[in-house]
Amino acid sequence: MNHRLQTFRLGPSRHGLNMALRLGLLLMLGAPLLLAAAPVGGSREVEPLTWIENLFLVLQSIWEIAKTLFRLSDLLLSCWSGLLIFIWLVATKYKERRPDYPMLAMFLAGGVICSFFALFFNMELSTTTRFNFFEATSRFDSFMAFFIGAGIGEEFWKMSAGLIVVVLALGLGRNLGDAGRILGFVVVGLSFAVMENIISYAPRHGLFDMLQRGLLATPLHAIMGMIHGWAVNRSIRRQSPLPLLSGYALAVIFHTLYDTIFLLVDAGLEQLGAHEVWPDLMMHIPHALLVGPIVFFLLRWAHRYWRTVPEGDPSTAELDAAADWI
Amino acid sequence: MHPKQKLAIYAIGFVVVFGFLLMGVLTAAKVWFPPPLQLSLQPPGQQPRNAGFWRQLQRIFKAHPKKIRYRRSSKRKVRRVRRGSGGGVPRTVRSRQHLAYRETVLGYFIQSNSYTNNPAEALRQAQRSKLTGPWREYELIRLRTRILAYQFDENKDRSLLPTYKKAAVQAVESPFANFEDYFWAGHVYLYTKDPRNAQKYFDLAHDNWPARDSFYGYIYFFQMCLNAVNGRGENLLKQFDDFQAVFPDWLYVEIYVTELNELQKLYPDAALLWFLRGQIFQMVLNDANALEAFQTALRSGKLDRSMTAAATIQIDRIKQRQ
Repeated sequence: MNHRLQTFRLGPSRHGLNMALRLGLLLMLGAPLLLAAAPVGGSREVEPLTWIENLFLVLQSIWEIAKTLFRLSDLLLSCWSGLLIFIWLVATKYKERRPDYPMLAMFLAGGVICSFFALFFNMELSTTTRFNFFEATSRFDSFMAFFIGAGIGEEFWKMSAGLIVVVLALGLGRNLGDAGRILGFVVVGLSFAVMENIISYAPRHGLFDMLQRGLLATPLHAIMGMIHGWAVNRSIRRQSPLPLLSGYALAVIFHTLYDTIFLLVDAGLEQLGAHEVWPDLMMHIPHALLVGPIVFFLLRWAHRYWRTVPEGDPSTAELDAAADWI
Repeated sequence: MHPKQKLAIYAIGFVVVFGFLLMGVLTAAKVWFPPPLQLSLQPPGQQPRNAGFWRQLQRIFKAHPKKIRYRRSSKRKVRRVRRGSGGGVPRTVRSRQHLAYRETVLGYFIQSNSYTNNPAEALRQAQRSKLTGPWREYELIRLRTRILAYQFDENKDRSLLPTYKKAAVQAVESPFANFEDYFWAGHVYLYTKDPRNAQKYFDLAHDNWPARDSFYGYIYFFQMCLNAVNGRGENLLKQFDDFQAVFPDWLYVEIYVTELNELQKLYPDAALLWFLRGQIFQMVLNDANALEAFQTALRSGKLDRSMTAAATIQIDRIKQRQ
């Protein structure tokens, strides 16, 4: 039988996978409810909230998300580059076999769910500590917010989501292969970026912001996913946890660097005395000039690396050789 | 062990260890780096930018509680007032006859008051009215409460307080009690040094008040005073943010600062009342009084750490302005 057809056969033997997919979908729908029902900060003596008001908050948040999703232009602006990157990765690699789409759907669900975790973590960080992202009292606090929230936090959530799906795939006996794992982590990063665009940026920001997100931020998330996948594959070959740590550290460094460059732009403009008169729209230009080369350099590395990744798993002989070498 | 099985162990270890570390970092940041105090009055140059998208994100997932409170307390209820025929009836009466009885009582009161200035005589005359109903007794108690309340409000004569308290409690315990009675009960409990009951009745009045009028502003003001008396500085600061929007006479400090004077005599240990006084005077740019009030609050040594910081910052600002 053609193995391409086997990939899509979801019979009784795939019961576990079916259940996991349903659970993922349930969590995806449930996460916003849990978030919205979370207690609001502050004393209840001044601002009491009854259960009916909490229910109102839940309904309101669902309505807000639904409104954003149904606004077609926002949706397109949020996910066009993610789709392009995914298509490019699949088209340039898979010549002999087909990607494991059910597992990729799991990675997608993982990315969506972890984006809510990251959202909650970042909200906690910016409201209950002094490390606010854009409204901190000093640039150092702002930097720490980006380091903890965006760097350490977001990269952890993404990598954890990907790793959990990888472990799930092992339990289900799915053979992802080197390229499959990397593609999975990239899908986690892309779905995270798309959710971030949909929830945080599309409802409030304009066309230029969204274009910049599509051209710079979404590829950056994809590259971070590729670094995660690279680390996991390396960990399998070396049979050591250290590559996981180094991959995580690299992703944290690049993500923090990307996010804090706007602080440098801000500080530079202040030194030049142009801080008050510089139009907001023009902020894109120095930011893109500084961030663009970093993203370009990483994209070049990602392109070269992706060409060398084998489609399937390493053979036993290859693994033995690697173990001997270590 | 197969390399992939090893990977599973590494992955689970990574998620658990780094998850705990991440939560530890967040908890440590919460403990050691709390957010700076958001003071209610910020000079124009120091107002936060409104461009923060995390703040706007919060609005998606957490509607601001204040919006809900206002919606519940005033907007819906104002909409429920009947228009056209049947409109114009006060919301504190149950029927036309009830209203007629109240008008009769008030009429007697106005007539006799102009000559005798004796509320007891007016009440005695009002009892001659032929209108009867279950609200009859309540109306008399209500009028007595109002008379005593206005007399107390005029000269702050504390000898009136026992009678006033008795009448206000009777009015509140009546089945016809309404939001106005809650207000006066809160008022008398506040002035008889019972902040717990005062809080209860002001909260009831706040939740049931049908409009955003001057009286509503006074409820808000007394709730602020109660927060100051109970030492809840954070709540006080939050409430002060909306003070100008809620209290129509905020500019005319001399009208309502008398209440604060009395409360400061009653609650001499409440250092936050001095802080509130400083905030109010600073709001109208009366720097001398504000500075004195903040310094008195600081000298008392009873402010907690955050409120001490807030008072110090306000003093610095005033000195910079001078």
